[in-house]
Amino acid sequence: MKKVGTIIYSVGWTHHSFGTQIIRTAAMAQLLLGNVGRAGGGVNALRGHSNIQGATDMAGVFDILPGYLKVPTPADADFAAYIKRITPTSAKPKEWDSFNYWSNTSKFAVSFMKAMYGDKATKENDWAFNYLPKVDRKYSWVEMWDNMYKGKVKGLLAFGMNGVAIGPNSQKNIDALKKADWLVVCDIYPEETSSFWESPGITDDQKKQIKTEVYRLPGAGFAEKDGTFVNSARWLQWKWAAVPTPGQAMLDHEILARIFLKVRELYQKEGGKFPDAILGATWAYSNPNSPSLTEVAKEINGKALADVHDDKQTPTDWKAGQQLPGFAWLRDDGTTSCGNWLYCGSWPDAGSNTQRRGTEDPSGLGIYPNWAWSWPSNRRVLYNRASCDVSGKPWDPARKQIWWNESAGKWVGNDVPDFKADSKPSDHMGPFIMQPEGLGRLFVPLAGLADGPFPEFYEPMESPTENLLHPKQSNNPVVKKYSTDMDKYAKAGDGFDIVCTSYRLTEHYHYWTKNNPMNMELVPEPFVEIPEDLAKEKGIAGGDKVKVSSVRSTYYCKAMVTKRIKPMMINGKKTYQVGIPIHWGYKGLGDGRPEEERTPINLLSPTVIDPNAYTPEFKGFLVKIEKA
Amino acid sequence: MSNGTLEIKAISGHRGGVPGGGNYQQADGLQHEGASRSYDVCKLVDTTTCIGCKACEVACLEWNGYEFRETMFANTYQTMPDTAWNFWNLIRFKEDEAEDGTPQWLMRKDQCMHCAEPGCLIACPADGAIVQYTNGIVDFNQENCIGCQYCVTGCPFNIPKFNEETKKVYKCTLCSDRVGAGLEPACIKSCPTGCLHFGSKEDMKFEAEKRATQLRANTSYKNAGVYDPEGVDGTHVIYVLHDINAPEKYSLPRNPTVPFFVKMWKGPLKWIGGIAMGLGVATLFGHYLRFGPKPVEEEMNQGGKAR
Amino acid sequence: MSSNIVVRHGTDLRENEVVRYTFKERICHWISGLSYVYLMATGLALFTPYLYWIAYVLGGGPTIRFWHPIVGFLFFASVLWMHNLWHNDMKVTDEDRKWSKTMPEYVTNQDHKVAPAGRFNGGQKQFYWAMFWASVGLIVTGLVMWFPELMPRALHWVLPIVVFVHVVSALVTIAAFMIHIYMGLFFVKGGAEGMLWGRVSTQWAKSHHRLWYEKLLKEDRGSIAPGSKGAD
Repeated sequence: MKKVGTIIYSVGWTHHSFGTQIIRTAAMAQLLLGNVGRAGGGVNALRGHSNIQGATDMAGVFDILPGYLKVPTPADADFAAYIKRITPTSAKPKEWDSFNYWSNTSKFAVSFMKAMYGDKATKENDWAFNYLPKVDRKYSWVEMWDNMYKGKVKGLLAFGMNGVAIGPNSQKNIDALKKADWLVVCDIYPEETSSFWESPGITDDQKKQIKTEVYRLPGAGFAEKDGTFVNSARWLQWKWAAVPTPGQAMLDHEILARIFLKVRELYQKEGGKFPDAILGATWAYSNPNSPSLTEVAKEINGKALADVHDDKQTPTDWKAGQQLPGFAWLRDDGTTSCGNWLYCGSWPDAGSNTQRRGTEDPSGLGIYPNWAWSWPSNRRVLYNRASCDVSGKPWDPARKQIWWNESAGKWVGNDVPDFKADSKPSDHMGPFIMQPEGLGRLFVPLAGLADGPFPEFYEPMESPTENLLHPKQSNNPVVKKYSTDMDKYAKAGDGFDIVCTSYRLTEHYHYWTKNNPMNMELVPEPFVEIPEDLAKEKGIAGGDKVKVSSVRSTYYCKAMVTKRIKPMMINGKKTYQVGIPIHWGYKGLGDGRPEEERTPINLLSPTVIDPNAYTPEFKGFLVKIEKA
Repeated sequence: MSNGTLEIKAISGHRGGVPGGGNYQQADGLQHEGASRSYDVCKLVDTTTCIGCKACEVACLEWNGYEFRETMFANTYQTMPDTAWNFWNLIRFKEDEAEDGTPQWLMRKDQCMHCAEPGCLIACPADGAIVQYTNGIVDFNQENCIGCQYCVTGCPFNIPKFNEETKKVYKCTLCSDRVGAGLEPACIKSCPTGCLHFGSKEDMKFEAEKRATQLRANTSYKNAGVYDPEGVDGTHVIYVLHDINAPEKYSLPRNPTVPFFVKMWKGPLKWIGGIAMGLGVATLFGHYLRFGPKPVEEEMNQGGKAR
Repeated sequence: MSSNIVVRHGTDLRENEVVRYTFKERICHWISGLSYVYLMATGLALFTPYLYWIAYVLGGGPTIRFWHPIVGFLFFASVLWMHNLWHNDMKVTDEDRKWSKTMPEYVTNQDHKVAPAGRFNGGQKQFYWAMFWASVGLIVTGLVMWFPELMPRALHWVLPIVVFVHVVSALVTIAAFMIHIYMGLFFVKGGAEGMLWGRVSTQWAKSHHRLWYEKLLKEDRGSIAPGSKGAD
């Protein structure tokens, strides 16, 4: 049990219509190998953005509330019904005890409602439960653009998300914007979305038909804002603004604040369909127009709303108004407020833990307990109880994370124990405290995942071959496809027999570094990487202009002929794969393509998404290629 | 330009010794002539952990104040075909294949090697245009440069680059300004994988050999080794290569030396020529004393003033 | 095989004078000589650190780097001109070979033992050709060294050889130059005047270049002052 292995993955695994099941497989493998809860083990994501972890923690997605609380649905008649539905009940398999920490859901949820609506959320009014939107269907990214294309979504506020460039199936997104009534873009440069009427191939007549009103709000770059980034290891690291915003650009949160305050003013003056939720939202910042992120961070951490007392904690009391030191203090009686229970402890009364920069690592395990602060409760390795045997002794005495201290009667260690501190080993409590059973799940019950309890191998929606395991069901049976005229999918025999994948370069960052001379110096022009054999077949030399086409659209770039991508033998057939870096489009510094050929890569990708995470299948679809 | 941690060891085109010279730690490890805080520095580039991210290219440009320029797609990830007077640090990419056909993508950070026996300095005729510090850094002082490009001739790594407008030559300085202030070079600071190391030559050599040994023992790179060419008396930039027997794959010369003819014209030819000229003048003077000017026939007929 | 000696119109030769070099020849020689001196001085500055101070005297390092090849170009143009004027006179004959055998006697002032010489004696012709070929070497290598940035990378290995040849050629010219100055200014009295004013005494001509003087007597009396001693 001395050797530990980790699995580190990125979007090569998740940009698939079965991506979630791939991650599941990794998790199962690690559970079977005993690598979970161990330092140097686990399943770890290399994120695509510096704060994507923060985005999901704070519910920048439609189907969760901050701290991964589930969203209410129309079926939840009241708060109690909602809490009943989303709170797992313990299951105690055989001799195992289970902490089932989600059993505290009501405390997290009520504290959240108090943070959102303050005094307007009371026990009497069901904690303002009716203020929350009830999510009746999927409102994920691709759904939203599909709704816009169908005319259901009339307007869009796009803050730092370049929808046209992201796609998938960018032309559908462009055409959706043509139908929208209004578009507000907050970004750091005029990008493809806020200039959608300049997309290649658009005719003057088509331009004249567009009635969309577009507002461009210059926002702030990452170095112009303070706040936190949360990394793959769940560390909240405070960052300080390095430079002021240039010209008339404003901080994003100031823009949002001003919009909110204006909308609230309109509701106050004119009323509306349901003003309560807007008028009831707390906005107690010292500068309401531009809330200080310190105040917001403290609000997220949470505070006592009345004097609170708990004999089991040290210290035992907190006064009203004081910041709380951890989620163990959260109550469901309205005496605590907390914007995100997972972040409770990030900004206690003593000050911000996210600003700590202690470089000591006394255990040598890379824990760095005093550098910033990780959720939950500064625990650096989740489920670290599993790093010890049943009796509470570390599996590897040379690499001790936590252990049971008999005389103290609690778990202690180099890391904060992710466990009930005073639970004796003989109580047999399972390490997986967030699962109702307290154990890691090899089998996912109760429709926990949309596609199935066990992973299964499926081909991408556009695949060059049939699935050998079950040719009649080659791809994920629960995958979501779309049905407008813009949603086309290639089939075998359509002439698209080359597999295409899209990815990122080190030298560029998504769609905005094409404005920066430094990045454009390092990699100036868009290209497709093609195997030498394919290049020979098509008579393409390195540097030649080529057209890459999917059943949806065409992408123009130059060819990079390489040894590094080899042809594959798939089901006895020689199959080629080509790869396209994503970073170019029709806005930004010149990239060598004439105006009408400055196509974004996601014109090619299909509107196919994973049924659990709703991620589009950017990493596997079919194309053909020819010299331009 | 006296600088506490930068002591001059050699100056190009300079007659006599180095001002204040002799105060440096020699190979025997002993201090000579008073207190010296200098030791020879070394940059270790481990090509086996380089990911070709080019952070070092950007750091070098930013530290030295050079503008980013427009480049072109050339069927490679390499930013420029070669270093330039205003682009001193280049990651060279090479697609290669191992014996069993596995693709190998070689990436090597190319910049001045700061040779212990620097061909550029040896070839340079201009007093003070090139300086070698006791810590091994070879630095160009453009104010003394005459633009003759002998340094280009003398360099076995083709590093010094000429600027057509200013008519001066430029190259990597191993961040002598940063090192002089006790900091590491800009490229070292920016490297995200830690494939660039900086320290004393002794320490870096030790680390490099350790890494090469580790590669040979634990990976398929049975020919991993350290590139520290003896032909130029060792360099202050050393590499760990996957294959020390094939430096050409990394665009490195197999056995770089100061070119033979440079050594000839700066060495034997100089003092032979000097002696010959001196002897020549002396001989002619001696001849004049002995034989005097040639008499004309008329004078001789007059039987007179034969001298 | 007489050279085109043109007596300047309206210029009288003084008593006992012979036209040694025409105006064109002298201009060519002095352009050549003076530009050479500049090249030698600036070249020596770049040859050894002990003489680098010459660069400062002549306008600084970058200045001499700039002018040395330009003056070198001028020097070579004058060498070509000189070659056009003198390549016939400089052809090596049997007489020269005989003369060269008696060079030790010439050098030790035993002139009565020295074989007679033509317009240019064997030594002078050796000097000329050494200078000519060394100059060719210098201009060819010098052109490469003027714009080394034009040398493609694959041919960089040629550059050290080029510089070496340039230095060796230069040293050859310096050695020849030293002897030439000694000869012209010190050893052979009257030589410098000949190259400055173009005229030498008939005695000088008879004494040092008897075969040439005799040819003038036969073919070109106009080059000799009328009534000169020994002209009849």
